[in-house]
Amino acid sequence: MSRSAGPIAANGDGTYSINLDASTRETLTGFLDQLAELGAAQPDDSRLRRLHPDAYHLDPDKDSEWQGFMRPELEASRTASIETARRVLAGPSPVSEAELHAFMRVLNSLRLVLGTLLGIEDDETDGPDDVDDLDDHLAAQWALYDFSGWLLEWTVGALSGETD
Amino acid sequence: MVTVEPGLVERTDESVEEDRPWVVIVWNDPINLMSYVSFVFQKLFGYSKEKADTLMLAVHEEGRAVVSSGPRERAEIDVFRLHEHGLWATMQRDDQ
Repeated sequence: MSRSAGPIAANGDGTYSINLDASTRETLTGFLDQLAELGAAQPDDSRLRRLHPDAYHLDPDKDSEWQGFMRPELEASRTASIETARRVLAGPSPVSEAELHAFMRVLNSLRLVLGTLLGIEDDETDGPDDVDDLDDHLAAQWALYDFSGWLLEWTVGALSGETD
Repeated sequence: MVTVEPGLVERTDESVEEDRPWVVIVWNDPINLMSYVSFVFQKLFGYSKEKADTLMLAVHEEGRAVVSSGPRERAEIDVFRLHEHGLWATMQRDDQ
């Protein structure tokens, strides 16, 4: 896929086009599958930390109650968004604004998990100077983190009316 | 609350506590893109781009910002929607 062409474009009729090649769509869908599988992980799985943050950070009892009620709701919402994102990636058809919103949320969720795996904890955390120095798995994670950020930026721009 | 005479209600500490609004705080997370955070504030709260950008920069530079306030039920809805969008949001009584 060429990065010189915008991957997300507004069609001017309230719909949007996803300009990603088949290989990229397939790869991203595979990562969405992995994200969906995280829903079956244990609640204390560190990869989920950013997907289920505290709500009552000053009151552990209230927060425990919150998590009991709201965690399933949040998981259900994310599952629905992942399903929508899969449809967005599956077909050439234009997507609605609501579908693109769901796609945007899923991209951000993917980055939250990847960023956690990569140990990004503050603004000073830099990416690798040279991905060739990394093992293949880590290099792939950094590449996906960067790519998903680039795609998210375009998605926000399209939804904001700041791109074509 | 304790009624001291017809028509008058003495406000106890508890009732004052109940009246205090809740605030929703968004905390900085280096993973979230600045453009994304601003867009979410506009979408969820109907803020102008200027106000959303100001709040986003406060989160980024000061580590956190109060993005909404009101009754507890309203704050819980706001926190849930922010969590849906992957932002690190918490709630507390104002002045805690």
